[in-house]
Amino acid sequence: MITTGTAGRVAVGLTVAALALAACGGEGSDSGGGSKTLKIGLVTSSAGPFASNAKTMVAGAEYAVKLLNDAGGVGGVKLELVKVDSQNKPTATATLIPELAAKQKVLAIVGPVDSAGCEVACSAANKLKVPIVSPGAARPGVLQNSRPYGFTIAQPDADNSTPVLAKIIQSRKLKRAAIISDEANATTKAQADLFRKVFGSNGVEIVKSVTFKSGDSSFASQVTSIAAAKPDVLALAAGPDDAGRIAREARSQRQDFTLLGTGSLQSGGAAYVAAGGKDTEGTLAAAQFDPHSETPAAKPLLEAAQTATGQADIPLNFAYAFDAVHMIAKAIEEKGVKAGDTEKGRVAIQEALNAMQNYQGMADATTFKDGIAQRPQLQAVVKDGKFVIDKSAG
Amino acid sequence: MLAQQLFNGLLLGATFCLVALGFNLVVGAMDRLNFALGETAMLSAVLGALIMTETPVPFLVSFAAATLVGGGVAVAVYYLSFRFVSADFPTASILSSLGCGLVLTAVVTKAFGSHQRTVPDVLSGVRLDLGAFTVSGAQLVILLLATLLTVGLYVFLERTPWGTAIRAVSDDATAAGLLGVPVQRVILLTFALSGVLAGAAGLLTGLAYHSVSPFDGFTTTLTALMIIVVGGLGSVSGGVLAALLIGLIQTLTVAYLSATLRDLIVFVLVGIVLLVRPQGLFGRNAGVLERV
Repeated sequence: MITTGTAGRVAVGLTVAALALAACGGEGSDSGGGSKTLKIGLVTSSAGPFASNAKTMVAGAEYAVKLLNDAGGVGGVKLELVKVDSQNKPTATATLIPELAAKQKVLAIVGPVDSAGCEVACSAANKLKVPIVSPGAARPGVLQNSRPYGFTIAQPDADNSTPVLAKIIQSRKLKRAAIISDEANATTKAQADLFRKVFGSNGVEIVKSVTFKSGDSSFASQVTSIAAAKPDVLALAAGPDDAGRIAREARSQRQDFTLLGTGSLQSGGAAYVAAGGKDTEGTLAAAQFDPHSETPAAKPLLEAAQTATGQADIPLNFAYAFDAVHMIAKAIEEKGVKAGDTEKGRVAIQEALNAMQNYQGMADATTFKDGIAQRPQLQAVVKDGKFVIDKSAG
Repeated sequence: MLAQQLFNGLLLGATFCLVALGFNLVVGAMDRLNFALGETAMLSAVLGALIMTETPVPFLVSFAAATLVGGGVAVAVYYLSFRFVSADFPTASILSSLGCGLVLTAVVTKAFGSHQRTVPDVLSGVRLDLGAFTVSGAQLVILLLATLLTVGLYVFLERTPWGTAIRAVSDDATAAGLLGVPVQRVILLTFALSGVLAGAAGLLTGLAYHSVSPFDGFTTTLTALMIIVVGGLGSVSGGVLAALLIGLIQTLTVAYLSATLRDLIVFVLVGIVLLVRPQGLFGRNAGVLERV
């Protein structure tokens, strides 16, 4: 009978080997040096409250690169995405950016999708003089330490969402509000501050503020507390998955107050609805992207993406990542950047992006103002299982 | 509101209770901890949720499948991390089972993605209004099944020959073996039972939270560890009481203080118990009858 010794060591060894394999199973990419492709870094995150947004960002960037390469690349040279996963860890992000810059020698970077990740990544990329475009970071001041190389295609919530939320409050005659916020995430804390400011300036009494932490599973306690305060609106300062589960808990406790989100909620709309199901119906949110835009530039791109992905509604981060890759490609083409000309190429791309005016892409027109895109101010509502732009809201 | 929050806390504690009992069974049988049990619960819940969303079968079928998966995974972990590892090196099984847990998380992430999986509601039209608090259909199902399993485990351990054998091995494996108890088979059964409880806990927790994440495993393990430290290693009744206590503390902290203080307060409680009564409320020194 085998009880100890070799067999035991084999069992432990097998487990450790399997563990090592699992740990090494990250996103692979070729090492740098002697590159014959134009490399663009892509910083994603498979963990954290905005993991689902990151997933759609990756899909958008990959789709853009595929289309560009299928059309012959940029100036006859193929594009290559070098994907890295920060797993929502700032320390990993701080290590991955220098790796993309020095080892992979990327010309520019797309991502991260969230503000907290962008603050670390964009600042690090700026120090290394690598252009970086976030397809989603929208916290005020997110590019404070990241100029002139940092850009974001999302307009900050404070600028974009405030007038829309004020309009919703007035049209719905909202008087009593509760706020639920993820206090372990800087982005959602900023959303909570925005809600407080908007409610305060529009005469809405905040009857309850409750918190949770990213990764919390149960919202029963928070929703019970909110229900006792009898609000007529619940402001969701949360990642889309968490917000969806909060909606489910609220409706399971038979609470019928209005659910309200900033533009960030609409940007992760698919994940929000997937997590919350039918309980998200009627949720109102500010928005800066119309997945069914009728503009001449956006409409064909959106329709092609719908066909290619099989999605009826192209998510915001997909469109923003798609546009980010195309803007970088346009800058490369305009400035005649060559694959091996990394440092000069980065400076040229940065200059081209800063000078870019009224770029027409999948997300309509984009013009950077000090690195931040100026976006339309729209109102969205969840209807029949998806966020739709409420054109009647004006 | 207090009554509703107390009920929420008890419900949370009831789900904690099952997985903590699973841990305690293994501790009782082998004096070692299976650190993959949290991930076993997670895997069972993910598969159970998948059955619920992708097939038209009733919830109880998904629940039974989750418990079977839990039992099967726990048996596999037993063979990988415990059966052939020398008792002289207890840290080897700790590390090995931790490794198994990480592999389970990686496998689920690769196979089903890293996103949280929605767990559909059950008995969504049912709602009992009991005056001071209300109970939803899902909560009713969770309470009934958790109670049934806890009582069933108690009856099994106290009233059946195999339960007696488990208690005998827990008390003194060598003496039990000399008296003809098939120790290895009893330990295998113990692991299977612990996995069944973990599988049940996983899906019921998912039902309570409306979702399950592939990264829930370690949190579950950590919570179960706190429960068995407070309740006492190997103690069934201690585990139940500690689970309910921690569920209540967590819920009331979130409701009346802050979500960030929730874990801190529980860890302070664990620290106090370790200082004042290191064996836990119903630990080894509490008498053989209290233990598995």
